Amino acid sequence: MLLEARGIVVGYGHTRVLKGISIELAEGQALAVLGANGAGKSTLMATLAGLLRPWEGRIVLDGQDITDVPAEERPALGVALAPEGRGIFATLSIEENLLMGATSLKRRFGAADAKQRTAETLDRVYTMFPVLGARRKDRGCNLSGGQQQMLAIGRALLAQPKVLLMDEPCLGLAPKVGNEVYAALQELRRDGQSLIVVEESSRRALQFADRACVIKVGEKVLEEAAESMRQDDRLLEAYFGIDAAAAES
Amino acid sequence: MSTFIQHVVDALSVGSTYALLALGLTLVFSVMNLINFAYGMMLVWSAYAAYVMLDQGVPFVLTVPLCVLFATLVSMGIGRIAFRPFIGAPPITLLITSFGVLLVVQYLAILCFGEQPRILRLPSLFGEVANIGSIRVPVLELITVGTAAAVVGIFYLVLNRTAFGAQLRAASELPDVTRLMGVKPDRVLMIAFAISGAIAGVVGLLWFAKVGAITPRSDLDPTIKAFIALVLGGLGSARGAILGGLALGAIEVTLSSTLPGDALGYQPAIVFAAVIAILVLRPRGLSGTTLEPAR
Repeated sequence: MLLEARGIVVGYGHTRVLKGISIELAEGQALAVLGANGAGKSTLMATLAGLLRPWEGRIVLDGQDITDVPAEERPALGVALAPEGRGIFATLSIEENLLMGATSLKRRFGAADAKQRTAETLDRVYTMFPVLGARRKDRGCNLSGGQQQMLAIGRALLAQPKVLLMDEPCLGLAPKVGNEVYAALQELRRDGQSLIVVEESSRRALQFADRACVIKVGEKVLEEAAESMRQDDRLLEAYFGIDAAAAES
Repeated sequence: MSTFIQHVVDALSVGSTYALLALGLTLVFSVMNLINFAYGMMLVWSAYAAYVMLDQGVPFVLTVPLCVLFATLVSMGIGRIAFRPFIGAPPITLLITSFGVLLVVQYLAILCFGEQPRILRLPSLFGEVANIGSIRVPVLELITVGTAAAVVGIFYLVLNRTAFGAQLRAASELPDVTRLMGVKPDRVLMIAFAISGAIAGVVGLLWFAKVGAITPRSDLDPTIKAFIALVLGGLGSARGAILGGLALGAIEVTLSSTLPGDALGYQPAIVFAAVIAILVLRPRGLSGTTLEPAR
């Protein structure tokens, strides 16, 4: 297993947000984490990325226990998060934003190798998102919401992650732009990128992912193959607390 | 006309010193949300270092870089020992810590040099006056303006053309996202303290070259001027610090040259009133583009 989180309990202050969640991700797999607003999805992402330290439970990446590794050291181990709200640095140019993502490569691969890898990945990102290449000297804050999301994805890719974490990549985007973002994620999947995508809206995520799990008030209530979940009324029940049979009648 | 140009040069000289002061302060504020009251003492220590070196016969051309290096190392040391453990702490904790640091470095100066003033013996060039056409300009003012322009230029290049600079700007904007990029917060803090210290080293020499004498309590005036410039320009913004410093210099020189002799004693109060009036009109300072401080 590439990434395993076992029995994660974490929260803010004295409030427990995640109450013993376990997830796992195999290499090349895409996992969708679904849940309503406030379910704890972003808390899970922040914990996997190292911004929050679990109160209980372990996180293992590629056989290495990374539970106590801080956020700033996780990119060098192969974990990159494109955060909710995109986290674009407004005062940095698009290219500077992208290069920030490559900060950890020197530690991971050595100076010479890192330079070459950065140049190659930068080219790949510009090929994938031509608008970023065309406006590379422009400030990140001048991009539209969809373009900023592309920048957030591109920046995470510059870290050459083993696991790419995407926190609500379509939040606040028009449906058409959201489809473009998912087309880009699909391309990454074809290249073998392992991904965890957190979404509130289930339709696109379930079409995209191999597996999906549903979180409700900090607990995992459902997990199975995304395709079977698409047909399954239990999603509706787990997600919104609606009895599907009753809803139909 | 020549009087006017004279006043412009005066304003530039005073203002650029204030701009450098504010720049050094705003840098640390933007990455740590720290109002560093000990900053003025960095100037004092830089001047004491120059005093000792010049007294020991070290050539002036060597004294300047050594002072800057000394101030940089002291600033990094203070940042490492006193402030690094408080990354992410509430502003009041940082404020109290900075008062504590101020007292420690001030009493250390008293212990080392006593309370009596020490005279900084600079090369005679600093006391000369240059004749540019019909205008007579003190050489020290020209050196101050030239040095300030060079420091701001280097600062701009470091901030905008280096990876360190990009990390610094990113951390001042979104510290948590910067961590997600693999940037260590303590490294950013050390870079900020190093640059801030280097600026303090330069501005300390310029300030005390003008004032002449150094005492362990000479930090108050530059600290107050730096804070006024900082607030006037817009807290947390490098552009604001420069604007605020230049504006404060212009206000002071204009008042000195226009106030009647018996009203000159009220000049500091009038400067404060002018600054308050500007802030009423522009509450976010002259730059109006404050960066979000680190949380």
